[in-house]
Amino acid sequence: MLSTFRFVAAIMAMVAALAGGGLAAPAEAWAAGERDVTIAQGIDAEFLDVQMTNNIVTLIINTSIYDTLLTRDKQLQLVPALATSYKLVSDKVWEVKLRQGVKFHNGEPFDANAVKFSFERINRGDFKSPQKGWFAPIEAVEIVDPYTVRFHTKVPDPAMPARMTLMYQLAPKYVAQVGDAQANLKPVGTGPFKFVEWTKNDRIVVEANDAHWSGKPAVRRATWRPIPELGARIAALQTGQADLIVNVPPDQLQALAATKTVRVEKTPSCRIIYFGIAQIKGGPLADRRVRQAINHAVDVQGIIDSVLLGNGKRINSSMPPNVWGYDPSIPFYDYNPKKAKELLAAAGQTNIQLTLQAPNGRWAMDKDIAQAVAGQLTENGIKTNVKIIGEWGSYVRSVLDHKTEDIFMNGWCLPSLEPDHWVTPNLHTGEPVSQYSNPEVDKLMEQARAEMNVEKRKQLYSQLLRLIRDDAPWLFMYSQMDIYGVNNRIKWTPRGDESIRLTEIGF
Amino acid sequence: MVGYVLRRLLQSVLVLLGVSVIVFGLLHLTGDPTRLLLPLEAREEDVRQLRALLGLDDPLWVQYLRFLWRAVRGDFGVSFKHQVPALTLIRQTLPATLELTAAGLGLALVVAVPAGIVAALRRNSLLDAVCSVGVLLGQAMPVYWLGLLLILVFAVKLGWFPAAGRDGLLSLVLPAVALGAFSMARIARMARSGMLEVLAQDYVRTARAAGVSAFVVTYKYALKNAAIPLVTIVGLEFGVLLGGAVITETIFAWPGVGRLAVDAIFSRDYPLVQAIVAMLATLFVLITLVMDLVYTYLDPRIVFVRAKA
Repeated sequence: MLSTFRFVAAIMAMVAALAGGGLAAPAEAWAAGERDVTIAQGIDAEFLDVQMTNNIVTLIINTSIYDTLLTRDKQLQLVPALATSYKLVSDKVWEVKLRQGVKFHNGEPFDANAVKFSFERINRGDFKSPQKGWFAPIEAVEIVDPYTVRFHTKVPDPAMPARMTLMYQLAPKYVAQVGDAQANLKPVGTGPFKFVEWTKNDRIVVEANDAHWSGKPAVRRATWRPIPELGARIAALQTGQADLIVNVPPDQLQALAATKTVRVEKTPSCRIIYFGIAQIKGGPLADRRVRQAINHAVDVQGIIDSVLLGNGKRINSSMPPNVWGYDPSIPFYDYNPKKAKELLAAAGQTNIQLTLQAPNGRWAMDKDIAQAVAGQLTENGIKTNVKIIGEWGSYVRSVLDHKTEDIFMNGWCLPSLEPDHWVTPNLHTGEPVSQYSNPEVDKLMEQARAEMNVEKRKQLYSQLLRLIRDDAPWLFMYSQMDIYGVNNRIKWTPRGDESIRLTEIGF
Repeated sequence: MVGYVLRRLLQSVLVLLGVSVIVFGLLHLTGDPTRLLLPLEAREEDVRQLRALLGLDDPLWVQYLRFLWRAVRGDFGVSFKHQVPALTLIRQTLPATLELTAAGLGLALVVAVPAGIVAALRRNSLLDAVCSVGVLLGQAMPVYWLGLLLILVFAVKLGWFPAAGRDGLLSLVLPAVALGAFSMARIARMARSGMLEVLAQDYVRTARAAGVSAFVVTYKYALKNAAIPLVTIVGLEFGVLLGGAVITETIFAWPGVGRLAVDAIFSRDYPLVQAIVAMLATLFVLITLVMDLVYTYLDPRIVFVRAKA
């Protein structure tokens, strides 16, 4: 009898030893104070060293800790932040006046030196920043006086103001003192919130910085939690554990509507969804009429209505309506199977067989959208098979290696909201994502991205987008609807750039 | 005894070496991680530069030897994605996983062993039937389905437990149940069949004939002998649970090493994946070793037989 007990005790001891005292986890209460909020996204921040990331979720979290030189208001218009004004001195020189009296969270003053440091840090050879490309056109930063800097660009760069919305400012002395690794674990910025704690894959906590230049934030303390599983994220909202959750798929809206304490907020996003047509592969896809036929053979609005339950907004070319340069006068392709067949006949391509690739779970209802598109193409004379590539790494590789199937699904939004960033990476000859080449389009893109006159630039984009629309390198689909679940105790409406600003939350 | 342990340790080293070769080979077959680390619009020159920085330009065998040489000194390199030493990340997340696994297994044992014994003693009774159905359900329910069901019922409807996250003991309950259910079923079945087998043995009949009380026969003689296969199962289950924690952790937003692993695999974070696999394999090998030692306590014949062989 005694030996039996000893055996059980041994097992128990082993289990306890393996648990390694983990049972004594910090039992901090989840229930927050009245002006505290918890926001649940799908993933954790990759870095709190903001210059180490280009990931949108990570940037959202970092934007509460760091300020940029310029920023965008709720209508996505450029507004001052740490820069109070900017002007062009010459085609390649921008002069920027900095806000005075701003201090980093550690007390260090913000000045021209910080701007120069932050810029040069990204370009340091041994610093693995994925942001290098964002600022590639900038040659150097010159300090004019403690609160004035000049950016010298390699070429005339009308996108400079948009780039300034991504210039996050770091504290030079602090980073030099603690090193890059520590600056990531204990971030110091000038932002409206100060860093408190980060438990990997569990939570990031920030608290209000009442000394912020924009005033005291209404939110006192915010917790960012990564909850990858959709069901658990929705449950967290319903039980009041989270006040704001992201990426609610359209088919879950009804379930949320049943909970009285929460509401749904949505807005058309800067993220566009399209099906690229691999023109560079040659064959039938090299014929513009075939690509146009593809656009006429799919009832995009019908798919938005039936698969996304209306949660999407058609795009007429390669840019979403909330990005500067969009031209609403460009017509959509009408759903016209007869015309599609005529175009195919004219091109001598009445018997083509295509394969369409799509990921699974990357964008809302992606797989279902792909299947609906392929179904309609097949129905209207373009036999199309669907190939789902569930693993994102493999999917990306097929695109970047220019080895996609004939048609590939893609989603696109860059946080700069700079028009060129919707066209050049996606459609310029030889760009990693582009499976398309058209010298005329290339030329217009290059012209537009260097045109310093605002009116002329706008015309160039209009011309470019029209040309793209007519040449049909994509099956133009829609800009995505961002859908959030929100607890009724907070006042908040979403922005069109996928960002969540804690300063825009009230009670 | 010492010789046996030493031999087992040597075997373990070989197993770990084999694991490292397989993991290294498989990972590198999945392709170049630099493309995933950089933005989609990154230029080829940026890709080349990053590849050189990460040491991915060297021949594969050079990379493997470098990995091995560092690993034996406890250095698993810096995670590509997080730019933090891989071991630091594991140290941060492993306690959560061990806590969950231990709770899941503990729960499984506490429920399953008595249930198995009772089912064996009351064979073909209603109780036995209830246990059998429970076992069937436990094994048939996929953990992600059970997990979501638990959240729906006990977090959303009843509000007894938090839906997700790691906030003290209360938050441990649902993930532990979800994780432990499968093992619970297997252990209960094993306990039942083990007991049934032992109860039918000659020595049990002899003990009964000699007038030893039913209690002593059951719990002293029968249970101890029935426990031997159970120990094997429990050891193996711990390994299974460590692996199974991947799904449970994802559903319940539990900040453990399983989620870290999934994320590392998807982002081709070689150093982190290698470190996690090495750590889990070591843990598994150690547990197996401990289990073997527990046998020697339960059945002293085991050591002598093996030591002579």
